[in-house]
Amino acid sequence: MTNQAGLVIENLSKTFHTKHKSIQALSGINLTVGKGEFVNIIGPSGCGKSTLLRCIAAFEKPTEGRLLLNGQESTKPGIDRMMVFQNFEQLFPWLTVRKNVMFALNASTRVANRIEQREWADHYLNLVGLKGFEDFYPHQLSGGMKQRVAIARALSVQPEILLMDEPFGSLDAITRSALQRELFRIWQETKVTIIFVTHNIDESIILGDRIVVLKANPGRIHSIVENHLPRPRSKDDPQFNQMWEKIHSLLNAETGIPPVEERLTGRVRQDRRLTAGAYLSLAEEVHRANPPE
Amino acid sequence: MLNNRRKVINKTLNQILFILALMLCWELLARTGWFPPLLFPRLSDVLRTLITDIRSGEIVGRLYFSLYLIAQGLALAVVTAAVAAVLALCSPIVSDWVQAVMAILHPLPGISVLPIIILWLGTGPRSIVAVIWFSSVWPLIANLHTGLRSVPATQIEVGQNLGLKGVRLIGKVLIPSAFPYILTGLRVAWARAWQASVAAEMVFGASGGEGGLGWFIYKKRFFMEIASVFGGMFVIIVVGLIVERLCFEWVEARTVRRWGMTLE
Repeated sequence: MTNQAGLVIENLSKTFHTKHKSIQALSGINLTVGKGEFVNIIGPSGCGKSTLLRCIAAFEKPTEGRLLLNGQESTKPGIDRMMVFQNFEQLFPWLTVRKNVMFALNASTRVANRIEQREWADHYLNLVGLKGFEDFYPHQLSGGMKQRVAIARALSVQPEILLMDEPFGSLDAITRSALQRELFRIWQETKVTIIFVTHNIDESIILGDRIVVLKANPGRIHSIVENHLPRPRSKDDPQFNQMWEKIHSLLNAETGIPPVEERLTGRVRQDRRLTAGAYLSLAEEVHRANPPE
Repeated sequence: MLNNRRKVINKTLNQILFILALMLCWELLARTGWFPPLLFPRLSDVLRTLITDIRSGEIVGRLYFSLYLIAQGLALAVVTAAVAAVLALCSPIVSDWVQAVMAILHPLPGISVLPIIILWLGTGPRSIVAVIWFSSVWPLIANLHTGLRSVPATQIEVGQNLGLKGVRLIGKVLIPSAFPYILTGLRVAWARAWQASVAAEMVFGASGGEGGLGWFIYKKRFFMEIASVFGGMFVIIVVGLIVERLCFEWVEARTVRRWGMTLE
């Protein structure tokens, strides 16, 4: 079993200790992700979905359990598992778009030669549709373009697994769905394994082969939904709606998260910087849950 | 864009005209003869003496001497600040220490340690370098410390993901990311160092009659060559402006402003 290709997560638990109490973020996670698979992880906020991703990247050390990548235990961050964050600050503002990608190739010693680094960088920027923006600085780009650069940079070192932590969470609805389509195309072209964390049900259905639904306190796997809807997936497809209802009820019934309206107002209250994109996607959820007569 | 540029030019023109008017007032006021010319020389006399002092090479030598000491003091301060800030970054205990020392010593004007420094190091260039160091090291540490702390965690993790750690992580991610703060620190440190060097030399030159601009002014006052005293002050102003407006602005335009990293 240990020489299985892909990622094997065995009995992973993570407990955070603060001064006064310890919080169990994850408990007994067992998950296998095959080579080239596209897996979504969805769950209510605080269910530890980001922590799980950060454990896979080895930014966090699991309290128990272990992670095997192609049979090898991985305990340190490495370019075989590249993370793409939600945060726009992940790009280095002092480097141009091309130099950001070249930085990755240089720092990881993936490509030593400057001319080759440049060629590789341009290749991956072209892949994410940023041809012509190579000499721009990050602050000159829109949010969607910044995330494209981050994806190009992560892919340039040719990782085994692309870890994506709500990468489109701060984008407006239109940019978000454009990037979802692009990501699907990139996945098909590069055959990279993708583990994609989201709290958006639509996103999880549009993108993945499998949807891992987590529940909170402590975070554990509630169920894994196989998603064989034909691609390209459309929200108008009745099967899409069935899938949506299924995941929605899994999230609601078993995790005890409050109804969507409450979540909407709660999030607006809690996060004053809630972006228009996040607001729209939440509003969309409300609309789905309560269709007008 | 063009409109903006015109506004800036108008503003500069307005300011230059005002300064020229003030200078004209000075000249006219001195020409009335209401004040003793020994204490209040004409501007034209000041400028004439300044040209003589520059031609004779005296003021250039003094300026060179001052800049040489400042370069030493600043270099030492940068090294000290870098070591302190990096140690503080590695250990929260050291960070607390650095913050405590900074809070206590930062408000102390650099020149106020001069008496002690003279006792310890004597009245030579070393003491002036020490005062310059003491004046400039605190703003440097403060800015470097804040700068390194404000590097986004995401950027550090991106570096770690790519296999960077230790010195390479600091050099390739932390320092560039903290650069806006580092530049601010250098700006303040330069201004403090420049003031401290002049002030310290007013108390004593440096051994063997050698000294910088402060010493020049002090000596000219001693011989009541007041026009030269004003000339020395002019040079201090001009050098300060050149470094601030040309050097730092130039660096800023090519770095933090180009990168969209300006503080505020």
